[in-house]
Amino acid sequence: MTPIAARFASCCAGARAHGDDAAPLPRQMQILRPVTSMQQISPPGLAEARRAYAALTWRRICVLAGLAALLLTSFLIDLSLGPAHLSFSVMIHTMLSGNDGSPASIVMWNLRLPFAVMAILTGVALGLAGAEMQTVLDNPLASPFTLGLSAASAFGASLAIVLGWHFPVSFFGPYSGNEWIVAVNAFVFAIGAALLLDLVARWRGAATGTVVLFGIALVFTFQALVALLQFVATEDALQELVFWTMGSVTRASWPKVAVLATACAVILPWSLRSAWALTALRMGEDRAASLGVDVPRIRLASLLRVSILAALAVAFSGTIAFVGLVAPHIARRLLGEDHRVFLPGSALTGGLIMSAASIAAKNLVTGAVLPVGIVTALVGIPFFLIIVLRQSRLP
Amino acid sequence: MSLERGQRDDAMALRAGPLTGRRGRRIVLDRVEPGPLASGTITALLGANGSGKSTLLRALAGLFPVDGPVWLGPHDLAAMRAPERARYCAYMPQTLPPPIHMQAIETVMVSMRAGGGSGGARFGGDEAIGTALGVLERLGIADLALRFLDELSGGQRQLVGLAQALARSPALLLLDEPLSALDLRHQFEVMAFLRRETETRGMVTVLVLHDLGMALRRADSAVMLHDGRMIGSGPVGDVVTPAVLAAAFGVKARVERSPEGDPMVLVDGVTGS
Repeated sequence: MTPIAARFASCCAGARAHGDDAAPLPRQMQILRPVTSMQQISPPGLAEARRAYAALTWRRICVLAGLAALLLTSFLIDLSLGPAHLSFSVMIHTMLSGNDGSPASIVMWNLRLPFAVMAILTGVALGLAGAEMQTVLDNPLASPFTLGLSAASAFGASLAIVLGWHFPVSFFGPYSGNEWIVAVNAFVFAIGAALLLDLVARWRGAATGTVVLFGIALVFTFQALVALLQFVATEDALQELVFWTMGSVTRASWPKVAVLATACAVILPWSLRSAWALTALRMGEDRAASLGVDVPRIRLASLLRVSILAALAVAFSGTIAFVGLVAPHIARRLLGEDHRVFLPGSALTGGLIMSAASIAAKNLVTGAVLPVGIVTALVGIPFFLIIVLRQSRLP
Repeated sequence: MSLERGQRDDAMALRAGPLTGRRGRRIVLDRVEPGPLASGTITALLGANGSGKSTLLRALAGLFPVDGPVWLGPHDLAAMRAPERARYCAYMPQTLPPPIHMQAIETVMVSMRAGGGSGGARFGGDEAIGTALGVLERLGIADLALRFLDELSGGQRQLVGLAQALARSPALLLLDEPLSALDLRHQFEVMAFLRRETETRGMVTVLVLHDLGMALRRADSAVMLHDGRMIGSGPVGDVVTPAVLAAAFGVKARVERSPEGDPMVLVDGVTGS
């Protein structure tokens, strides 16, 4: 049947649906091509396809810009709220004039700015890490938390907190204080867990499913080990450990912010260079391989990036469960699977969730800053449900 | 189906094997040598479940490591790295394209762009959109171009998967059960379409098929596999015979002609029981 005939058929079907029996459809035509809603859409012409694709691209740029604007707004709100009541003009003034030693600028430069920036960077790192993990492991449940990176680093941290056992950090010079000892321990264990995942992924013939199962085994192993350490810990150490595992940006300092910012600034462009290959990977591993994508190499490089980002984020901010898992899902809903926009989108979404959570953490309970790890899920879940349950066909 | 039909150019024929492949200790391809497959012809890989059809196809695509040469005309595919090989051959796996949130036309453009081979066309540029839409039109699914894969049925996604492979204009087209999710009408249309594309573009098309009647009517030649060994190869009418079918599938079968003269396979029973 020609397209014209198909359109004729669909017109007839429409007319008949309105009770007009004067033009019955030829019987043979019905049998050949049952008219369904699908075929009522006439094929797009070239110009229409171009317009539609241009519109899609434009929409994606707008969504990215919108996310960035929301992130900036959330960042400013985060800065303006806190126990010390600073007016907006004082806030802007102290930010522009630098840390001049006045009480306002000390609050701003030593507390609010590093905390707010750390919240965003942690979210960006976890969002990007989760997005890449879900793509290369082809599993919607993959995230730094669900595959054991967070549990491993919690174990590393608890070794330092409970047993005082740590890696030699004296070569970090000025950064060898107690907080850095815990962070370095957490980082080393997270990287170790990621390397184990790499190893399993590289295993000859190991499917992505195997990697995910192995990651889940890591979660339970390290959780059991942490529980063991909690059992033998002194009361003080236990309290410190519990606080650490809840995840908080209040341990942030400018050197830590600098380390995480550098990591994000290096790794995001590196990820974007593989965007094509990662998009192709979403179409199926064999399909991607047949398109000339070196799948094992892409997966390995990606897991390396994920481990650096996740390990740093967890080392500085503790276990934050929700962001790495959910930010990619939200970004995918909003932006689709083209990794050129999906990866930055997931990073921005992660940053936005963390920044909003940081605001909530400071203001839910007056006079106390809650650990942000507790509120990320509470803040993020409504957001997540709205987007995922809407099941809309986003154009 | 006579070997005389269609355009052919033996300078770009596929010459492969003998190919031997192992999975662990087990030999899954045993000195398989599908004879020179001329361009402009369709070859059906036939055989029972687990006989090595898909493995042979993956080996030709360079996705399963085998010992043995694979030449496409003057090009030594076996010596090529994946991105270079992908310029000559396109492979469609048996699994359907997953229902991801991407437009059909977008996935076709990604398949043209990923791995490096875009032929200079800018992604999302007019040229790339034109090529992608052209393939979808020829396949009769231009109306799906702007739909998202996660709202298409399995059969529709299989057609989009076929478009992804064809949009790369390969010289060697490898399809693993391209009809598995399609209804009768689309099976017929897709085979007719593959016939046309193969002839007009001078491709070497190799596909795994389970429908022996379809192979008899639409393929030029066939390769019959059994337990990783080749037990028949040549013009499809010489391969699909009662003796070979008995050896490959363990069935008593005969090849009859329909009143219109089309060959078809009738199974009367199983052998050895």
